[in-house]
Amino acid sequence: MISLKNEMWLESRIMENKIAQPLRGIIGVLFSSIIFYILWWIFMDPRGILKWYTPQYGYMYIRWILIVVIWQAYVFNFWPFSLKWRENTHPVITGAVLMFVNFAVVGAVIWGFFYHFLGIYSIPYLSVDKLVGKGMTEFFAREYSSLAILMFAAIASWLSPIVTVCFANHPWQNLKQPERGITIFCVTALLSILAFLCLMHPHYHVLFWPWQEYAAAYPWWANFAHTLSGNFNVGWVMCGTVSIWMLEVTFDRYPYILIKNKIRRGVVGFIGVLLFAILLFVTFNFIQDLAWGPAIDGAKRILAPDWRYQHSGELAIMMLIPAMILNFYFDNGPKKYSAPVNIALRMIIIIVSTMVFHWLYYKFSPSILGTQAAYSHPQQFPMAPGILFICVMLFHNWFMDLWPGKKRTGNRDVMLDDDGEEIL
Amino acid sequence: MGVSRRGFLKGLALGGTTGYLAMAGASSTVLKDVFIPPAAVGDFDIGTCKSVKCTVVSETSWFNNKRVVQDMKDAGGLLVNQYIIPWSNTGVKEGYNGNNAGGYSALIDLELLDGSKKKILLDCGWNTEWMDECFKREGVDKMLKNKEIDVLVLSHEHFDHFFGVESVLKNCPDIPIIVPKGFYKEGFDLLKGASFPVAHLKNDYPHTGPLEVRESGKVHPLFPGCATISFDSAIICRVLGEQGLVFNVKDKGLVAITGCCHMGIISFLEEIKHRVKGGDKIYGIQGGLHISPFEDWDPQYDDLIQALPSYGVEVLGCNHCTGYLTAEKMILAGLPVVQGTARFRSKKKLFLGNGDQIVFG
Amino acid sequence: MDENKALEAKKSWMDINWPGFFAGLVLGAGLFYITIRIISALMFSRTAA
Repeated sequence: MISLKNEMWLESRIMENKIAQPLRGIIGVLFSSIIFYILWWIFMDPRGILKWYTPQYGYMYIRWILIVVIWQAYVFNFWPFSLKWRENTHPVITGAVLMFVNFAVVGAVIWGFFYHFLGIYSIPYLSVDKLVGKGMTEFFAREYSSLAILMFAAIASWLSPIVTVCFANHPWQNLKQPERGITIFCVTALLSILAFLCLMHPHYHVLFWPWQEYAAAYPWWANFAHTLSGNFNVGWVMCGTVSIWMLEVTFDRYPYILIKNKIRRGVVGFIGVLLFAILLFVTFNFIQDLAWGPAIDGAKRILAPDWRYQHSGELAIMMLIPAMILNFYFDNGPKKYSAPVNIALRMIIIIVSTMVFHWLYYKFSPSILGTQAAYSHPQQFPMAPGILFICVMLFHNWFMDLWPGKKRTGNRDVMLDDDGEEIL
Repeated sequence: MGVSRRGFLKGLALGGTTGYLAMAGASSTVLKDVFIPPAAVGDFDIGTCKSVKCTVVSETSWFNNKRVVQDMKDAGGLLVNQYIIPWSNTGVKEGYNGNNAGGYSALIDLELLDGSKKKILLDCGWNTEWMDECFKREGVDKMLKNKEIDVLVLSHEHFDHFFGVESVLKNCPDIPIIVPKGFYKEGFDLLKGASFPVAHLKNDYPHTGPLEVRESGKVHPLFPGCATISFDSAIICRVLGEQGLVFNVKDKGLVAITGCCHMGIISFLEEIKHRVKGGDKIYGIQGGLHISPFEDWDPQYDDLIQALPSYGVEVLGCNHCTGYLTAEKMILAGLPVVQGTARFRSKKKLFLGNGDQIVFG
Repeated sequence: MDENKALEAKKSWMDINWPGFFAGLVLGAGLFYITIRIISALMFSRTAA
């Protein structure tokens, strides 16, 4: 028998509203925005302190912050932190401590695991020093290895939530922590590594000259995608991340929640998430073709097929941010109608908000974030600030229980799952 | 009544969501051609000329790649304003008297159908000492003094194409100048005689001639058989806008000549195809193609090399920011890259270098 | 979310009002068409980079 607090902290929280709407929502967005901007200025902004947004180097850290926060909250349920500490400590302290733990783990993974282990003993393009040692300019060496390292995280942050969202942690739902966390971590790590080897590793076949013909497959997507670049896969994987998160925050896991058997639900859900991701991907590509004319083989910037694929992922993230703001800070919109109507209204709010957010982003990002102007400039990379903002919202919700707008007053001892059966 | 209205709304919401997503899927795939109009065919007649000769005055924009990248990185990265970057101008072993800066400039001799000639100076380089030497080598300084050069076309505001403007204006302060839309205030101030000490940049010879800013989105005629097209490209070091030249050589076809082609050579060729009459026959290309200037790479550039043969280009002159790695791959792919002579500090014969010439027509 | 509401919500998905559904299909398709027209107008730039 599992303890809900120990194994399902987030789901079993009882949260009380301390501030009424819309003030609660506005304060929440402002709070996250301020934390986001402090972090952006310290770590990322080209006019700031560390200036890591180059953009891939900074984006690499941001991507790993996201997957580590998923590990901390969703996979390991905050193990090894004790329940007593979480129950009795002020949210500001839990937020700060868990955020610093996150940063420490990110540092250990990138500097320890990738730069100084895997990059040295296995795949050289994961290590900046190795590439520089081969005569590469340090700036590009860092960008190339950052892209590879971040793609492990990008793929993992698409696959990892599927276990919870689609499979409801089945078949490991009865394991205690850290056994459950370690199991889910191992399974998703294996799948992520396989996905990376098939989706991103071929990009590195053609990135270096002479082509790495024996070490990596030729990009198998080249003929139908009209590009050799791995950006083709970056785009739909990003849409996959958005698809799984929107299933969770916007669609309340519908329609898959209607399937009683959890394993069958997981499999159908996984396929459904993938199909929705492909739909987002082709639709955003189509919208770009409508706005700017069809992509042209071999072109660069806004006419480049590979940039368009990546931009589809960026547009999807621009949709996820309003979806998460609506869920976390504004109680997910109207609730007084039936479920299908509520969800349809949410979608309308999210689509309109996405258009507004898109306009605001491209108008103000050069002055506020220090990015370059124009849609397709190589240093205009909305996924970096976009996902950092998402990470901050997750810190705020998962580490701080949305303080000060909400207060966690306890955890439920008994919970029913989506089919009305008690979770044991 | 209330229940059936609720039921109707519920059905409407379910159907609406399904219809929205289904329409998204259908219009993005099977119905795509219904929504996207066919590409325009160029109909702007720029006239015809007899021949175009391009002399590479200088294509060595800088002498040490790592140094120039480090300068940008030390200043805060690729987004920093070029007018406040302290470019390395001393102690660079491969540099010109220790200065890493060189510059890009090309002299275009245009012969019209009636036999008359026009001279266009495309860009004016960076390091004025280096540019003075290059101009002297090719006789450009005397041509400027004698007002033989009809116009200075600045492809874009980048340091290696524009910061050497003093070398032009000291010989001909009233030369007509054409810039693309996007030049910043600092650029116009430099033309008027400003200095930027941090960037080791000055101009002591204020421009007194006509200055024209050319908007993007249209073909701007220059001479019979010659026009410019501007693009809104946002580029590193806080630069915006670039223009390229297009020529229509009798019995040969169109020729595209660029400074850096930040907009992309394929984009430039496509723009020519969709705007200029005869654009489906691109005979030649010359100029910097900005593919692997720092000898970096991206699979997108392989896409370009694989796509370029379909344009049927018969003469491919390239240099400067094209990158040696790109030229090597282009040659392996069978593209008609014109080799150079590697003189006057140009490093390799893979493409046209300083002092080399290419003739179209 | 609250378990009782979850169960109620699940039940509410089961009975579909078909006239409403088909009206919704047409409405949804039309809304998507309007969406892409608005977006392509907002993003339009002949020489956007």
